[in-house]
Order: sequence, then structure tokens, then C-alpha cells
Amino acid sequence: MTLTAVPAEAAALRGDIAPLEPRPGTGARAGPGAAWLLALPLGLLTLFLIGPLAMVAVTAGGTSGFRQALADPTVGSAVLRTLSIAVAVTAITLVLGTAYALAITSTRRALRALLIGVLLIGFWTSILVRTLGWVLLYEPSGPLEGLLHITRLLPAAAAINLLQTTPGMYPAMVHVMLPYMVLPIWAALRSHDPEQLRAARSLGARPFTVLRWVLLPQARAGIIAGAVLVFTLSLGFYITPRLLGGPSDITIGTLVGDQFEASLSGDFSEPAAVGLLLVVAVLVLYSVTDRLVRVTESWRP
Amino acid sequence: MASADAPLGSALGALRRPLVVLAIVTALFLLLPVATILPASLSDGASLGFPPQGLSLRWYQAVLADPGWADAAARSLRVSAAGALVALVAGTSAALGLTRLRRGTRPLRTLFMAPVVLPGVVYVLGFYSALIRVGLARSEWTIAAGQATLAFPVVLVLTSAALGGIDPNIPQAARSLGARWWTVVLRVELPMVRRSLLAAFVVAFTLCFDELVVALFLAPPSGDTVPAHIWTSAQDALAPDIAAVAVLVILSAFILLGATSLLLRGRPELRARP
Repeated sequence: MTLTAVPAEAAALRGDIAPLEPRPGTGARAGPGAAWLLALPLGLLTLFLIGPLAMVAVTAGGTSGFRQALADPTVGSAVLRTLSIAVAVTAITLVLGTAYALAITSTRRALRALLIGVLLIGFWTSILVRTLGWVLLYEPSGPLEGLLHITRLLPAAAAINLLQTTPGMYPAMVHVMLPYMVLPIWAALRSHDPEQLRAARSLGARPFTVLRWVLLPQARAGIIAGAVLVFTLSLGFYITPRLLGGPSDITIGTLVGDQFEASLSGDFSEPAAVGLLLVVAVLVLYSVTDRLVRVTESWRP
Repeated sequence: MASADAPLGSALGALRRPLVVLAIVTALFLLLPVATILPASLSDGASLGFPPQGLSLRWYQAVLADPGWADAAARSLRVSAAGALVALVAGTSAALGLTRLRRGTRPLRTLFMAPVVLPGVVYVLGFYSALIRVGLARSEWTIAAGQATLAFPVVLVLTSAALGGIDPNIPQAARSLGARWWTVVLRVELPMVRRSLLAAFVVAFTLCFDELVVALFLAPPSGDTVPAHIWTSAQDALAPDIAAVAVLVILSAFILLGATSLLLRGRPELRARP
């Protein structure tokens, strides 16, 4: 084809450089148009990402916000509660998610399509809708109760009380977070090295050994990415704890949201202070791990 | 990849069955809450119970006729379209820009992807404080701006992947023929990833449509989006009409995203030379 013939030869002469990057030897750091192309998103982010975050810092303003936050007893308990929930949810989704990803990569067409389909259904429905589903499940005389009665896991007269309770939050949060855990791990498993597996098996390794010492280490990047993603998302979670948690189940997210809502005319310094700490913690965790593994990109949306 | 799964499956040996069983149980767990919404929406009675009292479509009729929901739906469509459009333009621009950098892509990507992990409630708090400071009111534009920021990373990932799959010789050819960078972008690169751009728009649209926190806290007094409306209605009591709305939202998302998936599965993009 005449269109590609000339540049192919020219590229061969030049030593086959990447086409859009700047030519070596010109001293340019970026290809043509890079500055303009990046100016738009950078401008957008400066205005609508860095701007609001900076305002959080400003609103937390000096020490008054932090002093209020430290004096407020609900803040401390909210922080502890959020941390323990985040750790628990991450641990549970880690186990279930790894099993799920392993199952997807090791089953045949029909079952694998089913597993992937269910996962995508979960991913495509909004967090709100999924949480509403849990509220419906927990309704007194609702489906979950009915299911437990039918399967005789619960005596016929007993009722469940999971709405607005702490234990009720966990299944819903795991539900919401699971796709974020499965997708990176699955992506990492798909690029495993089959030769190492074959070698391990031929050397007589038992299945658990293969899993523990060959397969999972290869998927390590995906596992870390998934765990960090789920953990950071759990820290800032608002929707599910707010809808399913009781008045004493305050997390950092619901605390900030409620205080923000309550003082809609006035002083946001306390929620801003708490929020600032949360954001800083999340950003530090994210930027540190993003250097090692691509936390937010290691999945195929 | 199919051939590589046989060794994986058999390498797991005796562990395979328990893992698959656990995965199936997890899949049921994932389906359960979504599955209860549908029967709840078809309940004939005014309250939710199990088993549902009779089957009827009255709640769907009620919702579709209700001006409150219609207004919320219209607002959602407007705001999501605007937000998705902004996210598309900014995200594609970022993806194109990143292909032209030799170094420094890593820290930029970290910055660009940051909205994904950001806690929404803190973000809206800052956004609102900024609005107060500059004297602006909350409006549909503020919702769109916040949602565009949240959808931007997704667009970036999708368009980056698409741009990475085009034959690099073609834009190179255009460049060596004397085309300026904007010509290369507008008349060579973007047309080659048309379908992915559409898909990115649809995904961003769905994201914005379903988004709750920004829509809730940055909503104008004149009305809210569908998720925000669901939220405020659900605070009082969870009635079957909310379930009906939820089913409608799920269905439209599926149709939209499913159609886009099929679209992408069609003609393969121009691939890079082996």
C-alpha cells in the first residue's frame, strides 16, 4: 500500500521510533500537540478536582476545625468503626474475590460465561440500586426472612432484624465491592505463565502448593490493586452505610455527609477537617501503591 | 487464552471444585438483592412483603405517569449527557496527549485516575464551599461538572486502550506527509477509534446517570436527578414504586450497555502491525 510504504521505509532508516513521540535528537520532551491536548484535561481537573480539594483544606481552616473534630466524641469512634469495617470488607472480598477470579479462569465456557455475566450485572447496576436490593431483602417479613424460613435455617416464628444494624451492613458492602476486587485479580490471572504451572505440576507439586507458590504470586499485582482499591473505597463509603446502618453505625463518610447536610448554611469546618484527613489518607495510600501496581487501571471496565 | 486455562484448571486439581462451588455461591449472593427488586416492583399491595401480594403493573403505570419522576428523568438525561460529553472530550484529549509523551506519563496518569478513589462526600463538601466562595449557586451545571470529573478516568482508560490498538504507521504516515497535529488527531486518529469513543460516551453516561452523591448534594432547589429522587423517597418508606423505578433504571442501563458491547464486538479495530 502506498500510504504505508514510504513511512515504513523512513521509519526503518530512523530506527523504528514510536510514531507519535518526539523524534530522538530533537531535544523535545513531548510530541507535537501534547501541550494543547493535555491542557484541556489538566484545566478541567484543576478547576473541578484540585479546586474542591483545596477548598476542603481551606474550610478546615487553621486549627478550629481540627479542634472541634478532636473534641467531638463521635469522630473518634467513627474513625475506628470505619477502619474496622474497611479491613473486614477488604479481607472478605479478598477471599471471595480471589476464589471467584480463580474459578472464572479455570472453568469451561458455559459456567465461566455465567460467572462473568453475574459479575457484570453487579458492575452495571448502580450502587444505590444494589443497596436498595439489600434493604428489600432485609425487610421484616421480606424475602430473606422468607428464604430462611423455607430452608428451615430459621424457626418459623422468628424474625430477622438486620435493617439499620451493624451486621447488616457487611453483606451489602461486600456485594458492592466484590466486582472491584474480582476484575483486577482476574485480569492479572489471565496473564499467568502456563509454563510455570506445567513445570510445577510435573515436579509433583500438590494443588495447594501450586496455588500458594506459583499462581497467586503471579497475580500479586492484581491482588494488591484490588485490595487497595476496595480498602480506599470502603473508607469513603457513604451510600450503603447510610441506608443500611443504624443511628449508631456512623462511618467517616456518613459523618461528613450528615454534618454537611445539617449545617447547610453555616460552618463546615468540622466535617472539612475530618474529610481532609480522610482525603489525605486515601491519596497517600493511592499514590504510594499506584507506583507499584496500577490500582485504578488494572481492570477492563 | 483458552489453551492456557486447561493447565490452570488441572493444576488446581482437587482445589478446583471447592473454588468453583464458592464462586457459584458468591454469584448467587451477587444476584440475590438485584433479583428481589423485580418481584417487589410487581407487588399489587402498597407495602413490600414476601411473598408479594398479587402481581400487577400498577406501580410502573404510576411511576410513568408521575410528573415528579418524569421531571427527575428529564433532568437526569440532560445532566448525564452534558457530564458524559465533557468527560468524553477531556478524557480523549488526555489519552491523546499521553500517547505523545515520552516520559512523565506515570505521574500524570496517577493524577488523572485519582477521582476514582476520592471519597464523594468530601469532594462535594469542597465543591460546595468553593461555590459559596465564588458566589455561585448549585445548578444542573454543577452536578454535570462534578459528575464529569468522576467519569473522566473511565473515559481515559477506554480511549487509551482503543488508541493503543491502532496501527501506529498510519498516523505516522499522516505526520510525515506534513499533517499538523490537529489534523492527525481529527482526521486520522479519532476516526479510527470511533466505536470506542461511542462506547466511552455510553459508559460515562451510565456512570453519570447512576451517580448519587454529587447529584444529591450539588442539586439545585428546582429538582433532582433520578437517583437523588430515589434516595429521598427511600428515606421515608420503601414502597414498590421505588422498586419499579429501580427496575426501569436497571433495564435501561442493560439495554444501553449491552448494545454498546455488541457494537464493539463487531468489526475489529485496525490493529497494530505484528
